[in-house]
Amino acid sequence: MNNSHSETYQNGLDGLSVNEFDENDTLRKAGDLCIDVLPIWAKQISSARETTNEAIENLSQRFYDLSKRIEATAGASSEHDYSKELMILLKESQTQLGSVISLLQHTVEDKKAFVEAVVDLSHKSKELNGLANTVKSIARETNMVAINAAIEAAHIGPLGSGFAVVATAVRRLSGDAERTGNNISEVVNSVSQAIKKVESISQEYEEKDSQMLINAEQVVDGVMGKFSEATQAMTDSAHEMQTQGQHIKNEIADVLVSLQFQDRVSQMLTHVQDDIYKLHDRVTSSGEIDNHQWLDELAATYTTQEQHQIHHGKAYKTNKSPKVVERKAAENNSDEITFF
Amino acid sequence: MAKTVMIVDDSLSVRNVVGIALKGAGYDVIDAEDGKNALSKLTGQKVHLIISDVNMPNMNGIEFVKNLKQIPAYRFTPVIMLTTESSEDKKSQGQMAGAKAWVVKPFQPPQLLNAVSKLILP
Repeated sequence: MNNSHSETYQNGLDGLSVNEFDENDTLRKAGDLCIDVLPIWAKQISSARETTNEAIENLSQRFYDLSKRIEATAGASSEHDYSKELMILLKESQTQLGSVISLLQHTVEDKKAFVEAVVDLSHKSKELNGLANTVKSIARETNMVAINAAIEAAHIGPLGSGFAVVATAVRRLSGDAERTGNNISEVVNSVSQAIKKVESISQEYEEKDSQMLINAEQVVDGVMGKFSEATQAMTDSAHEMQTQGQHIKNEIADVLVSLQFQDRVSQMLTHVQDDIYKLHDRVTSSGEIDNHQWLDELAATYTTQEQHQIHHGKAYKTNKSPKVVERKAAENNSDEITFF
Repeated sequence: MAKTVMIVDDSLSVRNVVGIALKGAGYDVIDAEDGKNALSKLTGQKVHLIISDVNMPNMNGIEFVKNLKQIPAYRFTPVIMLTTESSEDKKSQGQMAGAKAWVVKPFQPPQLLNAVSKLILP
């Protein structure tokens, strides 16, 4: 307590009754207490306000940065739609592998046609064998005719010697024809055997080719099925992530809306703090205090509805969470747009 | 091309919530901590709308708008006052200074965006 203040109080106390003295002593002590305690209250409020401001602004900034990162990630993801590219790649792969299967089918069909041609050739070889037998038969008949001609020539005697020469030549030719017929039969039999072998091998390969084609189709279908499932799962996952990202972003925006309370609370605490300093100054200077005027001046500093409500005894109480309170307050202010 | 909105408020929390709302709606955002800081950042670039608090250190929102209207490049830039103040007297001061709208905090982003879309320069 400063000297001038003590002297003022002391001068006022002279000539008072005991009761009046006690009452004024209490007031003097209260005044002294105010002088000591008011700056402490103000500083405590200031410290609490600054600490809260710092913490809320830090929190707000972190949420803000988080929201920007989500925005950037979602933006990059939507700019480069990997799932869409995968779906296109899947369709292209299906088309290309379908072409490969189709090519294999054509190859197998060509092989079938080749085997049918070989089997047809086998029938032709039978016809060739028949022709060779005919040649041999003709040769034998010719030989018999030549033998008979030689016998008749011998009966005629010297006059048939020329005819005997012709008969001998014919016999020789029929012998050659018979040998040729035998050779043709052997070759045809040999070719026929080879064709049967080829036919047998071809049929074996045809079965293998058909099985290979079925296997190839199954493998391609299986791989494409798995690829399709994986692509669909990735696409679903990407969409889910985008949905969740948007949801988180909305939640963060809600949280930031809720953190607006810091601005109002800071202003309210500043007004209280300023008023405490004002009271301290007035008590220190022993100036007159007009309660009504003081309260009016205090009310004039208010900026929020809550301050006015509290000032006029309408306690601003709530059991709701700050988020709900802030949202409600914001909704109540929805009509508070004034266009000039 | 995105339009540019300036937010002037000493509260980082408010600047952030306004920033998120505006960027989410496709606007470019520049911010300032008070009127004096805002004037130092307005160097002739195109700003399509300004949102300003009223109670700020160094230079309050009313003084800021008065000063802004003296700058030819920003004479016609619409200003929305975004403040906890809701008294008619303060609103009148804002209107006299040149503000085009008055929004009371706390606010819902759609509410502010509605005012922005109505007033922003083409």
